[in-house]
Parts: sequence; structure tokens; C-alpha cells
Amino acid sequence: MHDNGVNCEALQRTLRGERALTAEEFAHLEECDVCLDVSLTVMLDIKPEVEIPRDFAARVVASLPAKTAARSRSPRHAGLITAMAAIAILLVVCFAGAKPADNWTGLVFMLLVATEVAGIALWLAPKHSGW
Amino acid sequence: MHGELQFEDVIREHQGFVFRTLVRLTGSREHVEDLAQEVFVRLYRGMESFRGDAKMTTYLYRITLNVAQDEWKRRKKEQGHTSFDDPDAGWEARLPGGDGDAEQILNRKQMMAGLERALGELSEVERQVIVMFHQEESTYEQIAAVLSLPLNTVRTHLHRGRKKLKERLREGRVVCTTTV
Repeated sequence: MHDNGVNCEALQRTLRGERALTAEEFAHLEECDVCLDVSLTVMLDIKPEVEIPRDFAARVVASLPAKTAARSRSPRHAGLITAMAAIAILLVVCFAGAKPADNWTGLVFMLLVATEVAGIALWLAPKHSGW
Repeated sequence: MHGELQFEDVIREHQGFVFRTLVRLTGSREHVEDLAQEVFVRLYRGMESFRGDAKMTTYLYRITLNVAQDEWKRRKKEQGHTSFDDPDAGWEARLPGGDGDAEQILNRKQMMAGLERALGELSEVERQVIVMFHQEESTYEQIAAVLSLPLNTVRTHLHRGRKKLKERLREGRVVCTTTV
């Protein structure tokens, strides 16, 4: 395919090769969608050159304990502990305390409530574990 | 996987991707080291929650894109606009045909600068898809998993993004050729 004296196939090889484009070839890119597409791909495929400090990984690892210590005091742990304590109190009230559930229906209801609270607490805990 | 030494290996294995993606998505090398550190700290915090290396890689990609997005928004807020012209990016030096006369070099630089500007004008998701597909050679499936998008939506974003880039490049070239 020729256009204004520029051969598309040759230009596409040049785009992927070593030689710099001439002014005519650059001008051709404006008009030829296929060559512009190849040119775009070549430019996008270039990986930016980055300088990573040699000790970067070590420095990141060294900074981790302080950050993870802060995580261990997060409120979700307090919430989980509170939920577990609530379940324990509920069970004690069911079986030992003032006997609010004096029949089987009441007892089953109380156990259902305790199970639901435990389930919700366990379901929420992994959801907030750092994601 | 939870040992610090093992995590250091994980960082070394993936740091290239993280740095490159942050540079290209934010359009700057400024603070890139801090941002990369933030990525790996977030990864470390989430490491207990997943099983298997494939899932970790997807998670790392997602964190990197999120950190880049946060930085992009922060800069936009601070400056009113975000420049995608990083004088230190040096992409043009790695373009094929590094040698040439002054006009050829100027043309090449203008084209790369045009591409950088055009990337900055794309939507967030189009930029992410294009960078992952071209720069990191990710598959449609990998991109879909990282961005939680259907496969066809990934294809559409890539197609639209490339189309917009070509339009902007063409417009940019017209300006270049009339002014040079």
C-alpha cells in the first residue's frame, strides 16, 4: 500500500525497528489509520524506565511491624470481643441466671439469638481484615 | 508467605510492575517510591485473607491501581489539573530510532508528549486497561479480574481508549506540523 510516496508495510517495519522516521513518514501517520495504530501500539508497549533503590524491599519490610501493630489495636477487635462477651452473657442468662426463658420455646429462641449474634460477628471479622 | 523474608521476595518479584504502573498511571515520578511502599504495606495487611499466588497477584494489581487513582485525584485537587508531561520520563529515548536529525527528534518528542497528554485525558478505567494491556502485557481475563469487570467491558474500554488516543494524537500532530 502506497500513500504519498510512503509504503505502509515498510513504515510499519520502521516503527518497530531502529531507524528514525522521516518528516514524510510522520506526515503519513496523520492520514493513515493503520500506520497510526501500529505507531500507537509501539509507543504504548514501551515500558517506562524506573529506578528502584536496591534496598527498597528491605526498607518496606522494616517499616511493616509498626504499621501492623497499629492494626492490632483496631476497633474491629474490640467489636468482636464485645460480641463474644454478649453471647456468653446471653447463654449464662439462658441456663443459669434469672431464667427469662422458662420453657423450651423461650430457650430455643434465646439460643437462636445467640447463634445469630455469633454468626454475624464471625462473618464481619474476616470482611474487615485488611481488605 | 507470612515471613518477612518471604515478603521481601514478593516485593522484589513485583516491584518493577508496581513502579512502572504508578509512573505511567500518575504521569510522574514524584513520590513514586512512597506510593510503591503504600502498595506493599496494603498488600501485607491483606495477605492473611487470600489463598494462592494467583489471587495475590490480582490483589496486588488492584491495590496498585487504587493507589495510583488516589494519587491522581489528590494531585487534581491540589493543582486543578494534572500534568502528564514528565520531563524525566525519557520514553522518547527508548523509542525506535533514537538517532536522527533535529526535526526527527522533535517530531518524536512531540508525539510522545502528545501520547502522555492524551493518556491523562482518558477516563480512569480506560487508562488502567490500556496500561495493563500494553505495558504489562496482561490478558483480558487478568484485567477483568483485577478491575472486576466483564470481559466484553474490558475489550470495549481498550477499544475506546485506543480510539481516543489516536484521535488526540492526530489532532496533536496537526498542531505540531503547522507550528514546526
